[in-house]
Amino acid sequence: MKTLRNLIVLLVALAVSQSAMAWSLWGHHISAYIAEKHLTPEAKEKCEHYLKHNLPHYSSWQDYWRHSDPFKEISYWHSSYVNKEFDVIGYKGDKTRDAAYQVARITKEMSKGKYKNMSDSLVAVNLKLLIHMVGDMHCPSHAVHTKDFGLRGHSIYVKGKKVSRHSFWDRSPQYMHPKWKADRFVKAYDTYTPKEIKKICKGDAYKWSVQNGHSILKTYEYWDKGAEFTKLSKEQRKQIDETLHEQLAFAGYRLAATLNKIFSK
Amino acid sequence: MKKISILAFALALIANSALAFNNFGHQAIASLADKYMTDNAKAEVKAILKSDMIRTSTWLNTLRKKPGLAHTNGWHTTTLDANGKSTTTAANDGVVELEKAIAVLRDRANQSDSLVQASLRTVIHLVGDLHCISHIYIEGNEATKGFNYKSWNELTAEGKGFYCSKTFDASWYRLWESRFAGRYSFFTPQYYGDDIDLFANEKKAEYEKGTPRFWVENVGEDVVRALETFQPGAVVPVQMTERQETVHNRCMAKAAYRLAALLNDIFK
Repeated sequence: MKTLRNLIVLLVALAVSQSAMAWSLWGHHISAYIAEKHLTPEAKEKCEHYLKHNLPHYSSWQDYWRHSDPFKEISYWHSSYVNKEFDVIGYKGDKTRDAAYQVARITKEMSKGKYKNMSDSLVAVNLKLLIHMVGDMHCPSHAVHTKDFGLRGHSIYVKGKKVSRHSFWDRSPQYMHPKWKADRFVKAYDTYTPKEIKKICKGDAYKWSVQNGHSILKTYEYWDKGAEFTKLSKEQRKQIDETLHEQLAFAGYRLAATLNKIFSK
Repeated sequence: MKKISILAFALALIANSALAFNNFGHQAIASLADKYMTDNAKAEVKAILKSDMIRTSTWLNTLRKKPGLAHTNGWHTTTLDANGKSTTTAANDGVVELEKAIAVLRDRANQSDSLVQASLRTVIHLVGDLHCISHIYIEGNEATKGFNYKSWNELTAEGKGFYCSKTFDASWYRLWESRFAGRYSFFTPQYYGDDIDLFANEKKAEYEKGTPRFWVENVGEDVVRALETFQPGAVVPVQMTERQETVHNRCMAKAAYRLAALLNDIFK
């Protein structure tokens, strides 16, 4: 009985931890790498000044530090939640526990030169959070549709091993292109024109969250119950890749737009 | 139980003969070193290697697997005395073999081409290895030879063990060899090399000074400091582990600056 209880505790712990991971290292690296290529010289210089590293270096910082005591609250900032009216409502209705809310908050608090009134360490932490959260809120498993949508995504099998829908999207870059490196992803995904990028970046984090809520609705239909990833049709794989392309590129462009706005002269 | 003990012992042996910085880490060090080498040194190195530094940087790891060359396993580590001083003269110790290889390069006019090439490959690898914290042993301090501890939260570029859990077994070796460098293996060595080039404007000149023995003693100080946090069986909070990335990156940067300075001096 005790063994069973321990097993249940372990499974719950795994489920909780996986549900909060969003993009794996690869996804975050890709979106941050794309963002870096779209920074203005001013924003690039400021980011280097405060972070001492490139953007991908800190793209998973929020995952690494979420279990440390001072940063436990940031565990709730990895997803954005939209209800059926497409309002951003936050985790269990707490609007502050939402990636879009936090991105908007930090952007507002730092823009118009206000970052200059912050300590260097606070600016650095805020940047690390932005790099991660803008990426996360574009992950199909972290642009969350609340229960009123009645959506239930199917798990998928990868080489016979059952993977939850959530976990699949988190690691989808590895599954789709296991041999690609960062440069190859960026070449394949950073394909939008300046005019398109301007349109993609229009609005704020709330608008982006709502757009994500709309655009990933279709992903629930990509595969049926019991599907095996390695046996998906070309069309199904193309759908997944197109979603990855769009979500990772949009995340990169919007992160760059956020940082460019904060550090605009 | 006996079988488990044998398996554990075998695993410990494997762990102890593991790579210093993983191959990607070595490549990043070589890339950063290349950035600070003189044109003359670059040209000579290229002529001797008939390849580039990045590709060559992992050669010594392949050598150890060849028949009759198992003794080179010891080259990847060095042992300091109980006071943290590098006084060893033992054959197959990393710093001793590094000094031998440097001596061959300085006397290259009187040496065979193949020996000069092998010595250069050895120098490129060992300067990196001897800046890896888990490859510096200290006499009388068994923990320096590797152990497991408990940690939180793992994340690797390979996507293995990517989920978070409360505690799990972690390895002193893995912490310094691949935990941090592994996160960057998704990029090119050049990109990672540039990212760890953190001291170019301040301490680089200071770091370049000294001899290989001074360098390993210097890394030994970091080993002692790290062991204040990491001990066999200790439970280490994630923030303490993450803070070690600064130490790890500084060691890599030092290795690159020192390798460049050494080669610039040899090929001046």
